[in-house]
Amino acid sequence: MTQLVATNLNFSVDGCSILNNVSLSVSSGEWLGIAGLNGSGKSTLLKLMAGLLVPSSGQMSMDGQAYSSVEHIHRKLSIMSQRTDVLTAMSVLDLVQLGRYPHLPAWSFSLSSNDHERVEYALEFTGLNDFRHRQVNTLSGGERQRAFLALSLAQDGSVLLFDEPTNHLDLVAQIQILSLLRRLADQGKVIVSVLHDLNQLSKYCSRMALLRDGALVAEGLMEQVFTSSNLKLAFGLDIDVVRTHDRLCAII
Amino acid sequence: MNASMRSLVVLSIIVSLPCLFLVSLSIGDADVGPHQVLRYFFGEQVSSIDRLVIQDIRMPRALAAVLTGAALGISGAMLQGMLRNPLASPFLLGISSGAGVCVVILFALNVAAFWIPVGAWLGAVLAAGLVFLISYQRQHISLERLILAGVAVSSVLGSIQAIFLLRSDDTRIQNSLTWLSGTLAARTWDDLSFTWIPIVICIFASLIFAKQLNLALLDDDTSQSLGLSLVQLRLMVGFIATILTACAVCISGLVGFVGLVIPHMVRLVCGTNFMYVLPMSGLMGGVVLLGADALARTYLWELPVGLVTSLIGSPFFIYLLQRRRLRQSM
Repeated sequence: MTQLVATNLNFSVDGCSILNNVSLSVSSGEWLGIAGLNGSGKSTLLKLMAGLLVPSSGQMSMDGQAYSSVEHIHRKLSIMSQRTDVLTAMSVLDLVQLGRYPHLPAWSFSLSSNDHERVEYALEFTGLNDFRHRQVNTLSGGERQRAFLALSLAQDGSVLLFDEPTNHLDLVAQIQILSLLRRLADQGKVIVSVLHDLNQLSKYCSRMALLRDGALVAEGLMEQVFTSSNLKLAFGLDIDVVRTHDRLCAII
Repeated sequence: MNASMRSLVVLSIIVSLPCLFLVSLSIGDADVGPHQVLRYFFGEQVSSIDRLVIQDIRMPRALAAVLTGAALGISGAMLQGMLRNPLASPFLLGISSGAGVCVVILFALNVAAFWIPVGAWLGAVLAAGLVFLISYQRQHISLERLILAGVAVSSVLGSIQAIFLLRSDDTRIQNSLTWLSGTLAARTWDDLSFTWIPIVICIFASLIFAKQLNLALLDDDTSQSLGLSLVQLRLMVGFIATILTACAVCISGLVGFVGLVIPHMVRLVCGTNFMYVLPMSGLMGGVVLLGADALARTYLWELPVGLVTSLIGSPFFIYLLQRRRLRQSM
C-alpha cells in the first residue's frame, strides 16, 4: 500500500508564484487526474510530485516519509513527460532496459535475470514484443508513447506519473494508453496524470484535482469534484455534467 | 547490421590497432622497415641507429597518435551524449580557441618550445572553465547556455588569435598554423610524459559515466526520474572531456574531425549503448589517427595530420548526413 501526500505545496520562481498552498493525497489503486487551464500549474504540480522540483515551502511525502528521506526513491517513482523522443537511433529494447538502471548496483553495468524478466513483462504488457528491435524514432506517436510507458513499467515503481500521456495521439491510441493506465491502477499502482479531455478524465480516473492560477479549486473523489460548479470555477465556462452509461460526462 | 557482422567489424578494429602501430613504426625517412621493427619487438639484434629510430623517434609518434585519437574519440562521444547534440565535438566548448590563442601568443612571444604544449593545455582548460562558469546558473547548467557560451567564448578567443597572427612575422605564422592544423611530427617521449597519465585515468573515469550518459539520451524529466543528476553529469563529463581534449591538444595541436566523426562511426557498428560506444570510440580514434598519420607521412612532403583527418573526415561526415536523410525519407 503506497500513499502519496502533498502538504501545503508552494512553488515560486523569481518571486512569481506558480503554485499556492496545494494539498492532496492519492493511494494505491487510485488514479488522480489533474486538470485546469494552460498555465494553471498542472505540470509544475506533477514535477513536484515526481520530486523533480523542490517546493518553495510545503512537503511531498510517500508513506509518511518526506521525499528527501525516502530510500531509493527512483525505484519507487517514475514520470513520463510530454517529450517522447530520444537522441540517437535507440531500439525499443534498449529504451525499456534503461528503466532498470535505478535498480542496478552503482558499479554494475549489466542487467540481472530479474531485470530481464521485468523488461520482458513491460514489453508484453504494452504489446511491444514485436517492436523490440525497432528504433524508437521510427515508431508512430502511439507506439512511442507505449514504449515510454514500458520504460516506466520496467522501473517497477509503485507510483507512476504522466504529463498529458495522450497528447498528439489519435483516438484509438489515446484509448489504448488510457486503458493500459487503468489496468495498472487496478493492479494497485498509484497513477497521477495531467489530462485535458474532461470526459476521458471522468471515465478513467478515480480522483480529480482541478487547478486555477496555481491554486486548487477542488480535489477528491471523481463523483464529488466533477460538478458543473467546480468545472466553471476551474475553466470559467458553463459546463453541464450529466450522468450517462453509469459515468459522468461534461457537455460544453 | 546483424550481431555476427557487428562482432566481425569490432574484431577487425581491435586487430587493426597493433597492425597499424607496426605500420606506423615501419614508415619514415630513415631506412628502417617492418623487418627491423619485428626484430626489435622479438628482442633480436638490431643496430643502434635502428633502435634509436624505432624507439625514440617513431614509437613516441605512434603512441602520440593512439593517445590523441583515443582522447578525442572518447571526449567527442561523451560530449555528444552529454550535450544531446550529434554535432558536438571536443572543440565545441571553446577548448580549441583557448588552446589556439595561448599557443599563438606564446609563438609571438618567442618562448621556449617546452611551454607551447603547457600553454595549450592551460588555454584549453581555462576556456572550457569559463564556458562552464558562464553556463552555471541557479545550480543548473542548461545545454543551450553551454553551447551558446562555447560559441561566444570561441568567437572572442578566435578574434584575439587572429589579431596576434596578423601581427606576427612569417616564420611565427607558419609555426602557429602548423600547430593549429594538428601535427604529430617530431613528437618525443617528453611530449607524452606530461599527458599520458591523465589520459589513461580519464579514459577509465569515462566508463563510470556510461550508465548516466545512456540515461542522458532521454529528456530531462525522464532521465532525472531514473536517478540521473544532470548538474553532476554535465560538470563531471565536461571536466573529463576537457582534460582529455586538453591533453590531446597538448600532444598534437588541433586535430579536427576525429572527435566529431569517430563516435558516429562507432554507433553505426555498436549501437547507442555508451558501455560500448566509449571504449570503441577510444579504440577507433587511435586506429584512425594512426592511419591518418601514416598517410600524412607517405605523401610527397609531410602533411599535418589534422589536415588528413579533415580531408577524410569531411566527406565521411557528408556521407553520414546523406545516409540519415535517406533513412528519414523512407
